[in-house]
Amino acid sequence: MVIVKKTVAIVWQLLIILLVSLAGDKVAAVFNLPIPGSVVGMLLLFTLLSTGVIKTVQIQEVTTFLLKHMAFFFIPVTVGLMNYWEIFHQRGIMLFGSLAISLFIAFVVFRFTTLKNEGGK
Amino acid sequence: MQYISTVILILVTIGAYLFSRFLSARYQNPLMNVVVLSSALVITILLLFHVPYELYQPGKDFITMLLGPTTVCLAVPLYNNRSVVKKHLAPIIMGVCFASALTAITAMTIAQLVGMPKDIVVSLGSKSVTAPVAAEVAKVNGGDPGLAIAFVIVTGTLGALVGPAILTLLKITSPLIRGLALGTISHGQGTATALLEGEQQGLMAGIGMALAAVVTSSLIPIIAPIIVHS
Repeated sequence: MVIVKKTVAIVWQLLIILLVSLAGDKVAAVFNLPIPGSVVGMLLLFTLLSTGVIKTVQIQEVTTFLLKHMAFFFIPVTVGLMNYWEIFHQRGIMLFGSLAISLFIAFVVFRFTTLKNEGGK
Repeated sequence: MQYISTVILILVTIGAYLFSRFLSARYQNPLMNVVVLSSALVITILLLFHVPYELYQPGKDFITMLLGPTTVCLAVPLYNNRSVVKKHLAPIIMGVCFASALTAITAMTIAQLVGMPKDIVVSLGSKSVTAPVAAEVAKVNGGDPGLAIAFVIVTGTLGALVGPAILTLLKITSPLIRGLALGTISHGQGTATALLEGEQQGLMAGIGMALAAVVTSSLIPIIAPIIVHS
């Protein structure tokens, strides 16, 4: 009985997340937004949580599980890199340079960020 | 027949993931990245057994479909930490916006200047955001999702490896800003690194990662065409 209840709860939670996700995709498509549907869905879920329509406990298990295993969901896309061998072979150094320089510049920006009441420079 | 191979390949992916998780937990090292390890394992298996990539496609599509719902879940940590965001709203937003914009512009401009093709330039724009969002940002703007994820992983690994040292070099001592910077610039991998410094750093990194996803996905459609056409 406990297991059944638990299963129903999980399926219900998954359903909520899938619905919000679909709604995000739909909104992005209908309004022709340049932002990915998943980001719209994320903002939508944030709004639903803020307005109290959904409470975090109602989606806790599923969101914790999905966030914990997020890495799994982009393994297949990364496997797709086997089709790009040539690009890395030809432009690897330039690409790495571009990534390294832009990374450093982003850190420099935070040199100029100060928070109040926090004592940090 | 195709159905069976799809199920087997999904199981192979799950197996590779679990094994990589075990390895990365055992050897705490940014180079022991779960995504890098798992993907390398799957690629090795595909090549070893002469499985054509087309056969992996249906399984790939199925797993990738779940990326969207997973991204949606990022709203939860952001919501749970809303009081911190509210307290430091202006500096957090400013920091994340400027860092996200500058890093994307720099990466794309360098690539454009050395004459890289458009899809590579655009894919570089989302290299600092969490992988599922990067893949979608690339797709929406004419980049390539696979390439975008490769750049995301290189950026994440690099940030996790040298980020703390750069922050110290720049004399950034505030734990909150250190965390915010790591999460904004190096997404999940940066957040994991920030968590090693402390709970506060990890929390801010999570906020940085979620905000960077929103900011970057809104900025790239504006920035990318300007850089690509200049």
